[in-house]
Order: sequence, then structure tokens, then C-alpha cells
Amino acid sequence: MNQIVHIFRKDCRRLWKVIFAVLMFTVLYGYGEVIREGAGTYVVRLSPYTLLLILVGLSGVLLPIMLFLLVVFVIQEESLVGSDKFWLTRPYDRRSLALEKLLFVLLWAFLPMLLHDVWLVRHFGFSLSSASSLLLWKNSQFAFFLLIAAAVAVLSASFARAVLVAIAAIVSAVLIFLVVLQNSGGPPTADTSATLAILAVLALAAVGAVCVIGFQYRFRITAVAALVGLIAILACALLARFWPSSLTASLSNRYAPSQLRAVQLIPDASLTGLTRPPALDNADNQARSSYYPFRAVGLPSDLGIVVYSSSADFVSPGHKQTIFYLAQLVRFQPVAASSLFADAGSPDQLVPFMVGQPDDPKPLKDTDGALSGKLDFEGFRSSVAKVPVPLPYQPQHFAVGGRRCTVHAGHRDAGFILRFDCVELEPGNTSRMQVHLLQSNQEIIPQGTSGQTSSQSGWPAFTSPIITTNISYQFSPDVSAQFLAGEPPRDREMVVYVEESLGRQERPFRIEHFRPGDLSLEAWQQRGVLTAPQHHLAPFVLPPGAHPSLTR
Amino acid sequence: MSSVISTTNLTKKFLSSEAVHDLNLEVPEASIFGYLGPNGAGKTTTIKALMNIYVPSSGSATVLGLDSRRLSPMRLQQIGYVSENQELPGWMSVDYFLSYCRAFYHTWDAGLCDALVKQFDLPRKQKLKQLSRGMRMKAALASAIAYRPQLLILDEPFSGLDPLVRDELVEGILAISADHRWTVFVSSHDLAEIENLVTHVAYIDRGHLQFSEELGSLQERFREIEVTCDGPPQLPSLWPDAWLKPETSSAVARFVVANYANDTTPQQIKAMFPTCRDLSVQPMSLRSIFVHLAKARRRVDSTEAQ
Repeated sequence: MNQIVHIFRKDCRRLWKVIFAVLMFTVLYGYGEVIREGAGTYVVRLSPYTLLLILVGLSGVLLPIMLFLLVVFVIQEESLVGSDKFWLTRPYDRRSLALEKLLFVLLWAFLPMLLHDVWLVRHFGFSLSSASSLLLWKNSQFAFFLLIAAAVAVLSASFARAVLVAIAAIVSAVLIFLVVLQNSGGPPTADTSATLAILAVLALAAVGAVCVIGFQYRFRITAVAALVGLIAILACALLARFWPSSLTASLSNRYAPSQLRAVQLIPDASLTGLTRPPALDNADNQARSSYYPFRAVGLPSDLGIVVYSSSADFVSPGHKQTIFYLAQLVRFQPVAASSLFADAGSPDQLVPFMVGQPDDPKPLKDTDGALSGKLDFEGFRSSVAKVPVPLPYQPQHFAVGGRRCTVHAGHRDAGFILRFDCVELEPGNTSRMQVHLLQSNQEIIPQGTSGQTSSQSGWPAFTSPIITTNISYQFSPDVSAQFLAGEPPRDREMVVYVEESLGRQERPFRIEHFRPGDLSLEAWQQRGVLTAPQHHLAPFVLPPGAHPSLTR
Repeated sequence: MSSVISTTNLTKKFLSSEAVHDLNLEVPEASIFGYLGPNGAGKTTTIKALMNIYVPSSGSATVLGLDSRRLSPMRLQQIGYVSENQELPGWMSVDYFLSYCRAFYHTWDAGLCDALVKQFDLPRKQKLKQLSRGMRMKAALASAIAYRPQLLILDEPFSGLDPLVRDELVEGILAISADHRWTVFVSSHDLAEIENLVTHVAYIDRGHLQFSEELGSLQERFREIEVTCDGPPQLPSLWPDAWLKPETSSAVARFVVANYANDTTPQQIKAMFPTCRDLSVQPMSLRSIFVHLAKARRRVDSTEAQ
């Protein structure tokens, strides 16, 4: 223990400048997160504050670099590479040395970042209990970064060599992954299964880094330690290559929100009163598409789903198997919950399937077969808040769907502008955000507010637990004039809708007697089962449990 | 007298090249042991194997009775090591360096440390990187001596030092050794200084140990011979292995005998040069022995190359 403290004090004395830089950039980064909430103020003239803002802007890049430097420098203080190091012939206890490095990194890299996270979470009004899993996940990522930096440091004798080792490791990893994944159709695509596979690969990489570090501190044979690192990279590539999709499906089902697990998509040709879907952009695609009614069963009142992809095989006697893809996104929403959603919707929808490009759809016109496959969908929960429209220079604070927002009002080119500065916890799951202005408690149509994504990253940055988004909506001059001529300024209101992604799922389906020739959009129209798209025109009533939560 | 260092068939290979080959060495307790050899002979490799910096390819070494591969921090408290190549923490001041080292040793003698700092005239507040090479060596030596190690290993401690500093270092080592009966193992090719310092000497060349013995016995058996003849000396066809190849001029043959014995060697020389009239036998300095051995080796190499 004495030796740990003794070396620790020496390292602090030696590396105080780097420690100071890490602490400074951590504070600046946190400060940047705070002022980013009110972004939009541009400082042009040169002043100390401008310089501070420049440093804050750079902190996003410099903080990871400084953290990397800190880890590399502290390990290389007693470098494990080389035969002329002073400490090699002194009575250092190797285990104490490794523990001292661990203590140093925990105290000067890990702890400041954890305090920074906790402070940010508290500053933006989120509870620590709601952020605990995020903090655990984010700090696991941070630990992974530190482990990789440490593995690079134990294999090199100087910072320049550490950079070379890092480059060599990246090149080796890219080459190994390229070779191993060459015939597997590439790495998993960006969906839940990819996230799970990448998590598993990163966990294995972390184990590999620990092995490299442990081996070097125990045996100090750099060539063998580097070989251990390469083996770990190879193991990661093999894991990515042979990651079982059944395991992915099992895990994603097990850990999906219970509301999503209950949702079923059932094809039903007898459905009526279906909203006519918009025509496809491409006439050729429209000609190759066949529609079939589906009902989403098990949707709670605030939950909708978007079917975003499909892969289905059409099998008909006498014809070769044909693949059908989803031609267009399809949204399903629960019945009688329109005031919770920005757009009108229904649990019954026509789903368009399109023959794959190389196939000629004509031979399929009169065939009767079975279409089976799976539909991939993303669930989203909609939240709504009725918020007073702020007066100019009097921003309004409110909370909706786990977000803390500040809204500013203004004008540009005769158009009314609303700017929302919102913060949410990483990784962020806002799939859409929409605003409707109210006129005599009725929504003005058209709203001119297409949904905007604030964040959908599955990989939170390890430097911050907060996602800050700045979204602006500019309304058309007509709508602006209509709105501004209405109620007195202090009585103006708006409705803010936020859709939060709950994750992705897939559901199998099978349709017997699927006759592409009878399933065109026009065929369904002629059968009289389609209705025109609807708009909200009824007075707006805030749904139970969706009262505006004004903050600050 | 027991051995403080002992190697048995110690071999160290780097890829295909063999830096040390089947080394068998015994360093007696309380000796000052000079480990000599030209550059690249394998001296530093041997020392690094002794200090467990390099793992031997085969064979073994024991240091203070323990296998070198199992040198523990506890055992390193009894060994002082100074090397010309050692990277000292240059950012530390002399004072901080010594106080930092102090915490690692239970036997640290603060009084001895102060005395060494004064003796070596070390500037306490100056950073190590600001010191001259000689002063850095002195600081390293002070840090390696202040805990009174049983064994002091010095790897080329005089390399690149000016004569004054060399003399001071030698005097320091001699004084310490005399006072405390420590064993000192010193590698060097600064033969003039070594000759005044060592009690035992070993010579290694290209990884092969040529000899290892007390300095007195070495100097007893090496003699430089000069034979003067009436005409060009006739070299005998059968030349003894222990006699280094001669250099001849018009009427003189000079050579070195590595196994000189007062009672037999002069007769043996006269028998081999029957027509010669004068025989001069001169004792040799360590430097002279070293130079002749190195030259003889070079001649063998060039002959083999041809």
C-alpha cells in the first residue's frame, strides 16, 4: 500500500499539467453542454468570452485526446517496454504498480467524468435514479476507451510509439475484420441485432484489452502481449462473423418493452374503412406493388408502430419463388387516441409489397400463391403537451416525454418561428417532434411542421450523458397571419408532440391466396374499403395524464 | 569463498544471433570483478540476464543464491545497479530522486546518502536532465549505494566520462568496497581504470568467455616476449595454442604467451628459436593483454573469412 501511495504521489507530481488539462476540459465540456441548450447566440467580436467559447468548442475533441494522453503517460512513467528503464532494476512490486496506475486513472480520469455526468444530469433536472442505467452504460463505454488506451500504452515506450501502436491496431482490426467478414455479407446492419452483436464484440475487445494489460504487467513480454492483442481482434471478428441471429432475436424479444412484445400484426382481407395510403413516388414501383390489409393488435393508447422493412417470399405452384419488399413506410396507431398523436391514424392499414427489381411483375398478375415472411417495425410512444406560446424574449420552459425544453418565439420573412432547445438523456430516443398551433383550441391545418428527429443514436458519446437538440419551425406567412390575428398574445397556445422510439421488433406473417393481380391500390379502391386521409379538426382536448409540465 | 553470481551454460539469443554462449562464470563474494570485452562482446546482455531484464534462452544464472528469473523486489533491495544506458527520470531533482528511491529500500542509509552527495558534489536542487553525463552517473551511483547493497553491478560506468570524474568514481567504489566488503561486478572497456580497481577479471568475446580469474594470476601468466635473432627469425611450424601469433621484423619476433611459467616457458622458447641470441620477457598491463587478445581474435576472423 505504501508503494502504491508513493508512486501515485510521484505520478501526480509528474503529470499535474495533464491532470489539470483533463480537469479543465472536463469542466469546459460540461459548460459547453449547458450553454449549448441556448445555442443560437453568436458572438462575433473577439473577447475573453469568445476565446472561452472557442475552447468550449474544442473541448469535444481535446478532452478525449487529453484522457488518452493521461492514460498513456501514467503507464509509460514506468514503461513496460524496453530494457533500460530505471524502475526495472528497482524493487517495484509489479502488482502494486498496476494497482497504482488503476487508482490514478480512476481518480483523475474516471471520477471527474462521473462527477461531470452527475452534475449535468442534475443541472438539467433529471433524476439520478432515472439516469442510473444510462450512467452505468456510458461509464462502461468510457472504461472501454480507457482500457484500449491502456492496452496501447503497455505495448509502447513513448507517446509517439503509442500513437503508432494505436494506428497499427486499427489497421490490423480493419484488415482482420475485412478478411473474416468478406463472405458473410458484411457486418450486421444498423438495427437491434447489430447493436447486440456490436455490444458482444466490444465486450470481447474489452476482455482482450484486459488480457494484454494483465499479461504485460505479469510477464512483460511485449511481443507475446501484442500477439494476445491480435488474437483478441481476431476473436472479435469471428464473433461478429458467427454471431447467431437466433440469439439476437431471442435477446431482442426478451429485452424489448413489454408494450412492444404484446403487439401483433395480423393480415386480414376483410378489413374496411382503411385510410387510402399515398401513392408511391415512382409509377413503375406503384405498378409492381400489391397491397394487403393488416391490423395491429395490442397497441396501448399512447403506442404506435412504423413498419419500416419487410422481406417476404411469394410461393406459387408453377412459378419460381419471388421476393417481395416493403414499398413504403406504414404507421399503425391505436383507435380513439388521435389527440395523443400529431397525425391521424388507425390500427388498420394497407401494407404495400413490391416485387424485387429484377423480376417482371406481369407473370405474377394472375397467380395465386402464399406470401410469407416477416415485417420489421419500430415502436414509438407518443407524448403531448399543451404549452403557452412564448412572447418574444420571454422563453417558455416545459417538459414533455422525458425531455426538458425551452421554446423561443420570433419572426422571419413574415413567418412565425418557434425555436425549441431540448435536452434529453443519452442515447436519446426521439424519433419525431411536431408542433401544432392552436386557434380557438383547434389545430391549424396545415401545421407546416413536419416531424423532426432530435436524436436516434444508439451509441451515446462517452463524454456526455446529455443530448441537446435545437429545432426550429417556421410557419408559412398565411398560417402565421391567421395565428397572430387570433387570440391576444398571452392566450396563444400550441401543442407539442414527441414520439420516443421504444426499439425494433419483427413479426412473422403468412398470407394464403395472395393474388398480386387483385391487390393493387386501385383494386382496393374499387372494392370500397378505402377512405380519404383525415385531419384533426375537432377541438383539441388534452388527453388524461398529458398535462403540460412547465419547468423552472 | 562462496559465489555471489554464478552462471551455468548461460545462453542468450536474439532471433538468430547469439549474444552470450554457454557462459559459466563465478563471481566470488567481496571481490571487485571486472567483466571485460570489446563492444558487442555480450557484457551488457549478460548483466541484463543477471538482473532479470532479459530471460535467458537456455542455461541459468543465480544472483545472491537465487535464480535470476525469480529476482523479487525483496532481493532487488540487496542489489545496486548502475548502467550507462539506464534512463533516469530526468524531470526529478537530485534530492527528489534520492528521496523517491529511499521509499523502496528498508536499509536506506540517509547518512551515507548525504555523504555520497557531498563526496560526489551533486547539486541537490538541479534536475537530473540538466546534469552532465558524469553527474548523472554519480547520482545513479549514489542511489544504488545508499541502501548498502550486498552486490553492486555497474555496466560501463566510466563510458564517456572525463578522467577526473572517472578517478572520483573509482575512488568512491574502492572506498565503499573496502569499508563494507561489498561485491562489485563491473563491466568496462576502460582498462586503465579497471586495472586499478578490480581483484578479479573475466574476458568475454563474441559471447564466449575467454577466461575468468584473479587479476594477479592473469598478470602472472601473460607475458610479452621479444626474441632477437641474427637474421630473420624462423617461426616453428608447430605453434602452441596458448601463444598468440607473433609479429616479426628483420631480426625480432614478438609475441604474447598466455600461460607463462617462470621455470618452463623460457626453455620452451629457446627450444623453438634455437638460432636466436636474446630473449626479453615483459609483464603486461591489463590494457596490453586486452589489446593483444582483441587483435589475435581479429586476425583469426580475417583468416577464417579468407
